[in-house]
Parts: sequence; C-alpha cells; structure tokens
Amino acid sequence: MLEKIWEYLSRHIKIAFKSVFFNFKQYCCFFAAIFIIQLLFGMMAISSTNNNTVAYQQIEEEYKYHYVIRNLTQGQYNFLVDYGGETNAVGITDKNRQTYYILTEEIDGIGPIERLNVKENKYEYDVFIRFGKLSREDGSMADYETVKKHCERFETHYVSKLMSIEPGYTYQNYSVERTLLLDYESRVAANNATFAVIAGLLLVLSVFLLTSIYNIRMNQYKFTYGVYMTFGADFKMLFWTAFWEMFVIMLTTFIPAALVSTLVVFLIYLPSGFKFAFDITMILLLFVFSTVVVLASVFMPMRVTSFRHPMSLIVTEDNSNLVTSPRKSFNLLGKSFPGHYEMYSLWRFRKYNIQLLTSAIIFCALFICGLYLANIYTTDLDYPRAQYTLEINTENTTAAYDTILSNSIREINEDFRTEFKDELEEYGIAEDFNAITGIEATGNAKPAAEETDPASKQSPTTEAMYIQSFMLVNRKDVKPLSTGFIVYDTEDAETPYQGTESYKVTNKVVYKAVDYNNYQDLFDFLSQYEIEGDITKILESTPEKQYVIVGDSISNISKFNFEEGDQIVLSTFVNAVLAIDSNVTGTNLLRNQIKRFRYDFTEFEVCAVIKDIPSGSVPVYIINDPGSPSQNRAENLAYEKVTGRDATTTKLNIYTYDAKYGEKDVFQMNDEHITFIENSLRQMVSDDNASKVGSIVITDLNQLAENNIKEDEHYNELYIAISILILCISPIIWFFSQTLYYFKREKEFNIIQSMGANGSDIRKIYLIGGLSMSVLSLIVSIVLSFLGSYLMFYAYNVIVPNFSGEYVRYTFYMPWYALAIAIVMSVGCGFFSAYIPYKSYFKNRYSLENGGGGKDDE
Amino acid sequence: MAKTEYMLQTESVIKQYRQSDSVITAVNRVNIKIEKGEFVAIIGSSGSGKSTFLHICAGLDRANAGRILIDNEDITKMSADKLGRFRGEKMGFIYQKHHLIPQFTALENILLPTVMCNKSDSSYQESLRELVECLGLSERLHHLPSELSGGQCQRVAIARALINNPQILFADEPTGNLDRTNADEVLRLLLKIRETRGQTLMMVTHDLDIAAKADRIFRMDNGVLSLDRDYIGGNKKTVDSY
Repeated sequence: MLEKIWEYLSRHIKIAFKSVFFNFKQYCCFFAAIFIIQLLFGMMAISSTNNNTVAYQQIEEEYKYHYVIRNLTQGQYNFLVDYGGETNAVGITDKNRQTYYILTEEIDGIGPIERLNVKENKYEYDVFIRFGKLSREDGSMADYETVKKHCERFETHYVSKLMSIEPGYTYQNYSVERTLLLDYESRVAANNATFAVIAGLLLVLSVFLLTSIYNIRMNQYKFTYGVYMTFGADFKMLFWTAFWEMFVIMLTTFIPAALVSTLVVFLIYLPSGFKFAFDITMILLLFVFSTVVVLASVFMPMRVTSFRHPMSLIVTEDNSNLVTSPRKSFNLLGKSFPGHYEMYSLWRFRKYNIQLLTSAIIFCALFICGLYLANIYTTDLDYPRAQYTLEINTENTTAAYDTILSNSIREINEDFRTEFKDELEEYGIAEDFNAITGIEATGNAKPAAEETDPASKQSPTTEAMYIQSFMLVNRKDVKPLSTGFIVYDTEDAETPYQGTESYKVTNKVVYKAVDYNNYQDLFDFLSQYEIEGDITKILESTPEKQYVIVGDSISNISKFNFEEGDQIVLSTFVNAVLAIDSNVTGTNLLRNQIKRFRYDFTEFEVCAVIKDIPSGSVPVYIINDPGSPSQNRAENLAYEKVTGRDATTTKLNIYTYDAKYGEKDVFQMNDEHITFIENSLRQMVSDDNASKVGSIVITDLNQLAENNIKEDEHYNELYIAISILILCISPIIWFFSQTLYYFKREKEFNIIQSMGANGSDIRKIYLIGGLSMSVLSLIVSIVLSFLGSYLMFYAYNVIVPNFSGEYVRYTFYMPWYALAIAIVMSVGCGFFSAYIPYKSYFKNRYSLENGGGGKDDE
Repeated sequence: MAKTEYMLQTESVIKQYRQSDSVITAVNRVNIKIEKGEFVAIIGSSGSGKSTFLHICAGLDRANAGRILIDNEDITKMSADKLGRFRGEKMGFIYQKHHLIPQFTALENILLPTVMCNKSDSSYQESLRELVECLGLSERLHHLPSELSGGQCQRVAIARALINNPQILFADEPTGNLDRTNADEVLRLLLKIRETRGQTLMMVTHDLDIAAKADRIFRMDNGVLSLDRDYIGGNKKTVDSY
C-alpha cells in the first residue's frame, strides 16, 4: 500500500516538477501569485495570534476588576464583604492549598458604591471584585486560567446565595457583570471570528486570482491538456496533474512566505512594545490554507477542460481561440495601416481584452478598497464614543438629569483641571481643558403599543415611526434619486395639510428634545459636527414661530438640501379612522397612515442643519421649554406636543476627551484620569445629591481601554500592508497575460512582414496596442475604483449599522493618492505589457537575422 | 460460419460546422465496419473530412449524429470522463505532427499514457522494452524532443500510442511531416509492431503507396465515405458492407 502511494506521489511530483521548472516562464507568475497569497494569509494568521496576546496584555493593564455586582442590598453587601473576616476578602483555596482572594473594598482607587434608595430609605451598593493572589496586601493579578477556574466556584458558592439574603426586600434586583478581564475569551473568540471571516474572504479572492491566471494559462496552453486527454486523462487525472504542479509551486514559496510574513508582522507590532507572539500552528494553518486554495483554484479550469474534446484543445496552439468571430467584417480597404489594422485586432480580441482589463484592474480597485478600509478603521477608532452611561432609575426617585445633575457633571471638569493642573500645563491646556467633552441625552420612547405606564413615556428622543408620525418636506429640499420618500397627495389624505408647496413625506425621522434648562450640553455635543446656520436660534422658538435643528441624512446617506429658513411640517397622530393591516410595512404603511389616520400639523423653520451627524433616521431637534416667569418666557413644550412624550432625561451618554492614542505631543487620558472621572461621578451620586437623586447607575463602557486595545491590534497598518500586496497582483496578471498573447501573435507579425510591412509598422502595432490598453485601463481604473470605494462606503454607512445598531458617519471620499497609484499602475502595465514583448520580439528577430537559434513554438 | 467480430463500427455519423450563416457538413452519414486486426486506410483530398472522421472515431471529437462502437461499446453515449479512460485503455493515436510534450524526455513522453491511466510500473515494462527495441530508440530515451530528429520524434509518438497496448490504433497522416526515407522507415516499424500485436489500424493518408499496404482503402469526398475500388484487388479484401 505504502509502496503504491510512494510510486504515485513520486511519479506525479516528478512530472509536476518537470512541467513547472522546464516551463518556468509559463509558471513564474504562479510563483508570484501564490507567494503573495501565502504572505497575505501568513500576515493575517500571525497578526491574529498577536492580537490575542496584545489584547490580553492590554486588558490586564486597562481593566481593574473581574466582576461588577450592582444594586446589592446592605445584607448582600455584608455577606460578600464580611465573609472574608478581617481581611475583608473572600478566600478561595484550591486543591493545592493555594489561596486566592477576592478584593472588594478598593481596587486602584475604585471602591464600592453606596447610594440611598429614597423610596425604601435603604442603601444599595455596587461592588467591584478582583481576584487577587495569595493575599489582599499582595493584590497582584492571578493568572487568567486560575481566575477562570475559580470564577465558576465563586458564582456557584457566593453569588448564587445572594438571593436568599434579605428575601423580603422589594428592590432586590442585583446584577452580575463580568468585565473583559474575565471574559477575555469572548475577545479572543471575536478576534478569531474576525480572522475566520477575513480568511474566508481571502480564500475567495485567492481562488479567484489563481483561477483567473490559470484560465489565462489554459487559454494559451490547451495543447498539452489535449495530448493528456488523447492518452486517457479524465477529469480526475487532469485535476491531480494540475494540482501537483501548483503544489510544487506552493511548496517552493511556502518557507519564504512564512518567513517574510513573520518579519512583516513583527515590524508592524514592534512599536506597541508587546512581546511578539509566534504560534507554529499558524504556520501549519498557512500550509493547509495554501493547499486548499490550490485545490480549489485548479478545480474549475480542469472541470471545464475535461468537458472539451481533445482535438478542440490541440488545434488551439495559436490564439485563434481568443478571437471573437465577427458577424460583420470591417472593410480594411482604404483604411490606414497599421492604425486601423490594430484597432480591428483589439476589437476582434475583445473578449480577451475585457477579461484582462477587468481581472487585472479589479486588484487595483481592491487596493483602493483596502486603503478605504484602513481609513474607516482609523475613523472608527477616532470616532467619539461615550465612556460612561448614567441611568437614573425613575422608580426610586423623583429627580431627573436636567434639574440636578447637569451642573454637577460640569463641575467635574473644573475638579479635573485642578487635580491635574501640572500635567495640563505641560500641554498649555490647564485653563480650558474639558475632561468630559459632551453629554448626550439618549433613550428612545417605545412604540406606542408597548407603552404601559407613564414612566415608559419618559424619553427625550422619539422615533416618528413609533408614534405614527411623519415629516413633510418641500420637494425641492429632497435630493434627486433619494429613496424612502412618498409624494404627499392632499386628495388622498384623511386630514390634508394645506401648504403652499409640493411636499414629500418620510417617517424615517427621530424627534429630539432641546431642554431649555440644559441646552448647553446639547450644543457642546452638536458642536463636534459640521453645522450650517445658527443652532442657538432654536432657543428663540415661540408657540407662534417654531425653529428646529435638522440633520441632512437618513441611514448616513445625505438626502436633504436643507438650508437655514426652510420649512418643514411635523405631524401628530390624533386617531385612526380605519385600521391598517399589520402586514403592511415601509412606504406602503406610511401611505395607508396618511389615508386612514387623522393628524395635527405643526410648522417649523429650519434654523441650523447638521451635515455629518451619524443617523439611522434623520434627527429633528425640537424645543421643549417649561417657561420661566422670571425671565418673561412663556411655556413652549413643542417636543411634547408633537410626540406626546415627556422629555425628561433619564439616560445619558458621557463623552470624555479622547486623543488619538498613538500621537505624541497631545495630552492623552490614562487610567488615572479615567479613574478620577469615574470616582467623581460616583461621588456626585453618593454625596450631597444622594437624598434627592437616589438610584443612579453609572456604567463604565471602557471606551478608552477599548480604543487602546484596538490601537495596538494594528489593523490599520495590516490593511495597508495587505492593500499593497493586493496591488502587486495586478502587474502579474498584466504581464503574464500580455506576454503570452503577444508571443502567440508573433507568427502573425512575421506573416504581415513577409507581405510588405516593415519594422516600423510592427513597432506601431505594438505601440497602438499598448497605448489603447493604457487608455482603456485609465477608464476602467477610475470606474472600478469609484465603484469599489462607493460600495465600501455604502456597506459601512448603511448595511453594517443595520446589523450593529451603531451609526458611525463615514464620509465618502476618493483616496486620490491611492487612485493615482492605481491609475499609474494600470496605465503603466497596459503600456509596458505590450512594450516589453515588442522589445523581446525585435531582439529575437535580430538574433535570428544574425544566425541566432530558433525557438520551439510549443 | 463464424460471426465476424468488429473492432469499429459507425452508423450514420454526421459532423457539421457552423460558419457565420452557413453550415458545412464535414462528415456525412458515414457507415463503416472494421474487423479486429484489420488495417484500413482512408484517402481523400484536403478538406474532404477524413481527419475529422478519424478524430470522431477515436473519440477526440464529437459527432452531431450517429453511433460509434469500439469493441461493441458505444462511445457516443459515454461521459467525457468515461470516454477519456476508455480511450486510454483501448485506443492509441498518432498525430501528423508528433505533439510530444517539450519538457519531457523521449522516455517520459512514451510513458505518458501509463501515467494518465494510472498503470503500475511493472505493467508496462515488457511493452516498453519491446517498443524501444523495435523502434530503435534505446539511445535516445533520455533526450528532449528538441534534441531529436523529426523521424525520431515520430517514432517516440508511435511508441507513446502503443505503450498501453491498445486494441485499435488511429493514425492521422503519421508520416506526413517526414521525408520519403524516414516515412518508409516509420511506417515499416509501425506495421511490424501492429502485425506482431494483432492490432486494428485506421490510418488517414495522402500517400497512395502507404494506402496500398492497407487491407481496405476508403476514399472520403466532401464528407462522404466510399470504398475506393481503384485500389481493391490482389491480396486486398473486399467488403460486403460499409
């Protein structure tokens, strides 16, 4: 058996070696292509290992505790804290009598939170837990595996018993959160999933690339396979013959690719200062991946070939099989030679030319897409995201953000400046630095059908769709070709709005309240976007003259031409005259609502347009002013009137300063700063305001830590490196294909020379061919690059947010430097892939004329 | 009377090509029966369809209509893969141009069909020895095609066609590219081996002297095959049906 396998392998690999190295010119582009594929995969595989290592080291640095247990009662808190006796820790001893401690009192300045539940008049606690080593005094982190081993026991033995303590307590609703420190595996799983997805995409791309090149080769060398088939080769034999050839190439490039990819990743990760992780399994994976790519890429060409008859393969020794048979012949008489001659040839070889142009230039477009992706990654990393959320439990308190907390939160900035004065002075920002850069009221009202009590109607934002509302917009304010709108027809409406203009309607609108008592926070938040007009004018709204601030986009795509002074009309649902089938959705639903429901209408004037705010629905900011007799201001609750919702803010996003982590000479927040802000927030809750505010839950979203981890994962640099490698594929296809093409045309040139064409004519033929391909490349490059970029833009602006629910606004732009590189590459390849065969042709002729040796046509 | 065993039978074989708006019939309702061990020559002018017919009989090309039976198996109904394997086992083919694979030595080219048919090393040793000896290739086995003369290349091509010991051999003007001396020598060797092995031979040729050595001679004219009576006589067989 082994003897047979050895006989089979040695025979086929020997044939493959001979085929590959005897016809090296035929196969050299496969060496380059497979090397690039292996390099791409190797880089991704090794960086994936490194990302996991970097992530763990970063998580260890950034996260202070394994668990956060919130809303504990006094009894539950005591149970956890006192269980450890004097050490104030819960000890767990494993079978090796090694004791680990759960630190609860204070970890790196973050201690347990105590706050008053005013309704119950009892205290509630949030506890931060970290597994320490040996003793509380030591405090150093236990290793991940040990922690994992003990956390299950901790949850079984301690956490599960919490419920039985103080069973009569009404608000016993503690929650247990694991931080990334404990859920590191989820991060690894996410990294691995990302790697799997990218590897899948690379597999598809690689198979496409190799199949394309293999098809080009097959087109030129069908003859050999015709001979194989004549002597009994079936698909299986053809397939394995082709596979072993590719396998030999893969084997040759494997070690250099593994070494180079390791080196590149090492250089990329070097600046992060983390220990470089090298995993041999990734190298094995590279081998498996390469083998799969090679297997998959020869399958289709060989399958197609096996269906052909041997004679049809044998007769295509020249490139006659690339010629498209004309239905109507051009009249060559009276036309110029060689100009028209070559233009006709380009036309006759159109299928070949189209295939070549698209398959070569698609890699230039992918290069641009890769750079676009790198840019998106950087934008995403720099995008303002909340560091904390504050959630006010309105069941336990009568307080709300606007009356109590607003000023307190702003005071934290002053405290921060005082605390870190020296540091800030180094950067010259001691006077005006704001650690908290924005506060955003969030929380969306539920759909009307789900509202069960008045509390659920508390929300400063309301989706129009939830309350059967819609917005009427002047037709001229809607950009051409914008989708998702219907034309407003007053004759069809149950309660027609009798405006002076022609309108379009959309219900992809989100109403947002501008609280007069707290507008500055909102203005701070909005000021990070591009604003046209005067946002402060909204404060001048009166019941007679209402102003709004509006966005210009739906699903991150700009759809409105709003300008200051434009009018919009918002509708408020009154009642339904006729019911609507629950199956009706989208614009049909909107059309039916207009037809069957009664509405009130309120007119607003646009005072400012926010150009780049991320959006699912278009945001419309409406004033909500309770009025002030002392300031002689009348009540104007426009938001509440339009939405029927109470604009009370109960949930906040708090944004902190976030400079790009890698930049020097820029003040950067560190753990100490973040801890200070977090403690200040907690202090604010538990100090003087405790009796009024009651239960507020502060959640650290760890955005800064997340950014730091992502920054050190170096995806940005990887995408750029990958893009450059992808760009290198384009010339491989160009030169491989064109060299073979012109080589096959040499007989034709010899014939036309024997009929009177001179060397200059032949030169012109090459020149015209090269220049024509350059011009076509220019056009195709621009078209494909724009198409690729727009698809990336659309995917990240519209499709991804639909799944993730998080809207980040990316701007559509063409990376001009990348486009320039792609164009130069395409145009240059188009020209030189004709010019080099031309030089070779004349060199051979010269050597022939001087008695040089001939060459075998086959 | 013993039943005649046919190696090749064709029934109403038609092959047409579409060119722009016209249809060209290269092979027009051709019927032929070739007995086992018989040597049949097909002659005809250029473009008469004789090579096309030979390719169709060898399964190298597909007919538009009709049946082709090789050793009583209908190759027109076989899948591409089955036909490939069948061809490797039962048929040998010699082209006008040698069509040797340039990167392989003479020996490797000869052994190519054994590789394509997954034959074990031991199974073809005897055949190889016999062919190399008979065709006088022993000194040139490790040379590349580019290092061989035209006659030597064609002898390698013959050895390649015969290495799997096929039951029927198709030859498409096997000496068309050779000078008279080489052509006579190659043909002599081919016929000698065929005679030793008792193989059926179907040959397309322009050369009437070569055709004269066949048991039967057919003429192809505009795709129509007919028995060429001018050359029947002497020790040649006559046919009762075709």
